[in-house]
Amino acid sequence: MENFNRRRFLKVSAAAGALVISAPAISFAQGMSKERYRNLDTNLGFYLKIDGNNKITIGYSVPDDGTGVSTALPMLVAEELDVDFKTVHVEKLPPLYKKAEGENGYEDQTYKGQPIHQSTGGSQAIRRSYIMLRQAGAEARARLVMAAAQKLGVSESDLSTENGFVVHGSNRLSYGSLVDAAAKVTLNSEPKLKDYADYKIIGTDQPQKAALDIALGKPIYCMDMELPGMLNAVIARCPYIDGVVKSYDDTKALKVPGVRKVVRIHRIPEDRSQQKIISDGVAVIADNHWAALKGRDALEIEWDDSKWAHADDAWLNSEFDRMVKNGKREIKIEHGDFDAAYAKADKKLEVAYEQPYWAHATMETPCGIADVTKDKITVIAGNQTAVRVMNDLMQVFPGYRHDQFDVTLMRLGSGFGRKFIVDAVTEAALCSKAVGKPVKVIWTREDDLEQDFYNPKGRHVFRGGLDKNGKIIAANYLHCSTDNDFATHAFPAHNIPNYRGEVVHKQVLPSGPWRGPTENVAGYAMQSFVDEMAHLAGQDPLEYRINMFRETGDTPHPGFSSDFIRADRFINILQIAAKNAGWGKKLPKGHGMGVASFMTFGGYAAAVVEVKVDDDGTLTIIKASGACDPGVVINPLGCKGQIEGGTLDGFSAALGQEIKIDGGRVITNNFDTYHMARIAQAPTQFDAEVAKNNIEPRGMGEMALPAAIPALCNAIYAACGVRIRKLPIADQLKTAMRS
Amino acid sequence: MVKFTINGKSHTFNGDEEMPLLWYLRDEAKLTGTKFGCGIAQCGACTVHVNGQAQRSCVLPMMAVEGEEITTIEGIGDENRLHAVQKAWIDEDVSQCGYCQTGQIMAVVSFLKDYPNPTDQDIDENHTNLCRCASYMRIRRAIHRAARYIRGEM
Repeated sequence: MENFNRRRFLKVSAAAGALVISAPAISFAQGMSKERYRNLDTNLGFYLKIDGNNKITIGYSVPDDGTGVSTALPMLVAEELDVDFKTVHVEKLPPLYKKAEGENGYEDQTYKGQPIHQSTGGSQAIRRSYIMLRQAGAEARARLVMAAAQKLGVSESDLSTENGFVVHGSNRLSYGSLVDAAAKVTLNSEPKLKDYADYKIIGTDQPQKAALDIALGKPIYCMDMELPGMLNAVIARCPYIDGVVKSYDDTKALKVPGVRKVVRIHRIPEDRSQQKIISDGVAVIADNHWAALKGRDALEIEWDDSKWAHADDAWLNSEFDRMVKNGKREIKIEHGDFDAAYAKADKKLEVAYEQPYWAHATMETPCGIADVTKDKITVIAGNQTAVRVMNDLMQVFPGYRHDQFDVTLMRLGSGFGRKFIVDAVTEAALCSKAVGKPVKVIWTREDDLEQDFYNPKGRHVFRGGLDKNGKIIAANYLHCSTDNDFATHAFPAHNIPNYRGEVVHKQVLPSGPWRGPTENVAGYAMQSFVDEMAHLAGQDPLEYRINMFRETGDTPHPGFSSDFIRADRFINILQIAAKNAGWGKKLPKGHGMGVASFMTFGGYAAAVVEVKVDDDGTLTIIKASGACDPGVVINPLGCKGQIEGGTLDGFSAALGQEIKIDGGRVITNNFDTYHMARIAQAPTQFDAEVAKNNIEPRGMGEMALPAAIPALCNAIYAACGVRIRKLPIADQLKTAMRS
Repeated sequence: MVKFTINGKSHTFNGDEEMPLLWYLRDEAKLTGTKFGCGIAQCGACTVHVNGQAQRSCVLPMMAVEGEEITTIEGIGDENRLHAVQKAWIDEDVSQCGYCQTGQIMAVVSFLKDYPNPTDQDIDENHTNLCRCASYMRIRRAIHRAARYIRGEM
């Protein structure tokens, strides 16, 4: 500990110095000139700026794509700092990075030896920041108290803090009056963090700090930004899967008023056996977006569609038939002896579930702004992580050193995993280099739905066997997917004594993470299967699940962000959802209730859904009860929003979303053909509840959805006896109820 | 030449009259609170008012706004004087990513003129804006709350 003081002091000083990063010259349009570009220049460690008027600004390092981290992360700092959170301002920090040691790229800056988490995705932001941000708040508070003690000539133990003031008897010193001295003091020890029972901010409802800016329509997204002298580009990307430009004629495009230049954009990587990052295409660069669009319409392009010209939905389904029948199976998990136990089972079920490709359809389409000059690459982006933006750009522009990049991440008009990919920004940089001016690339919705990195399409084949008591003694889960990512280990894999999980993989469309990757579809398949087995056993589907965990106790769950499932938490979350839904109550004719539960990235979710199915197959979702146990709840109001949104997002995907392909290209390329739910499809009643406990937290963004979809499907079965074995639900009920 | 007003201020436009109003607002008038979402009037992120009625500006060509009074999100309220619908949106903590919400708010301001005391069914039948985050539970609550604010009940 003897080096602690000096080392810590140096780190804070260095941090303060490193953060004085000049803001890029972003110009806002007239009428918005008072808008200040936000780039926090902290004066007390990484996260804090306190001015002489005691205005307290807390920086957050993770871009907010709607999960509420720009409110929840500052709450962690504020808790230990002891300030009134209602009066706290929050601002996005610039990327905190350093050159990766021994490698050509960047990595996250560290604080107290740990990387500062700066990416939104994988439900990681809260989990990775829970200790570090409280440490930052506690250290700042300790420094302020020490500065006050020195100023007043009293002992630190005579001082307390209260809502932004250090208090000594009737004497109150504002944090703002102490901040300069606080940055210079030397702490004697690492401050102790508060006990859970003493939290005053964590666990309280806090409205989103961005709510006012959003309601006023302030420019807070990449799509709203400009650089001086900026041009606009749109790109004609090859609409055929893995296709390329054969030839093109830009004569007419260049005649469109406002069009400045037409630029060939080459696929990255060039090797078409690898998944694309940038599609092959032709960019039209113009004075404004509309001129660029007209120029693009005037391009004459001949595409090479040969690689997947045969691909359509019927062909793809036949590929799945082949994968099931004779695909090369890889066993992911196996315990007991499935074949022997299944042979002896009292009752058996063999069943398959299918789900289509889903698109991200982020509300703000992909967009990127770049200015590539001889000395510097300036980027404004709506991406989920800054370090990846820099590292990917360094691959495309290898002549630039790490200190020649200036990257600003804006609030994201949703991400859902889509905006990990650094495509729009790279395209903008390529255009900028070609035209010698800053360029913004906007994707149209057609671009977005045709060129997405889709949630993989899958088929899930189960064989299950019950013993005489209705207990599942054997199950075999075969997951065939267009991506190589699986959750065959999820509940109920470890509650079944003889189990084999195996997978077959064949890539067609590009794929990528989509809210709760792989859990999103495994949840649907595995929890539909459990429901079918409960009905086959003639048992209540809720009790059936609870009994499985009563019998096994905690089970392994070797997934992302988790090692095991705790039986008590799993049972508790089911019981909360069931209680809120009134599980077991008598329902009107045509109504039915379904239940499901799932663990996603270490968080426990349960959903109970009540639906009504009319005689003609019209489906109404009456009520949803969603419950989640993420561990420590930072902001209950925000968590409930994620339960509501995640559940309804799941319903939307299940009800109507399906990417269709024909002739080697995606044909569902806007919201007229790619059907997303509106308010009329949402239930009017919703109970969202978060469990209360003091267990290290997990993020909420992806937790609710994987349980929501099967709960809906199970409710439909309870209401009308139709089992949804294929998504989307679409008009299946109308067809089924007719026959 | 097309003459019209935006938020009470006169504008004239001499360019391509096929250009949708959305891109005039965003690229020329620099009023970026009106958002692009689909370009085919399906999602409502671009909703503005034309003479007080909600319209989807992504399919409204400039030639059609001659003599019209356009109102955008920037024209219905400000930090010190929020519109009742903006206030309801904040009070219900509706927004997640927030990108569609200006369009939602503009659609609801117009809707509540026709349905000052809306039922859930009125909302379902008339409010069709897409929210990708599916914040529909709170949108519904905020519509009812805004209606009460406008009726002076709270």
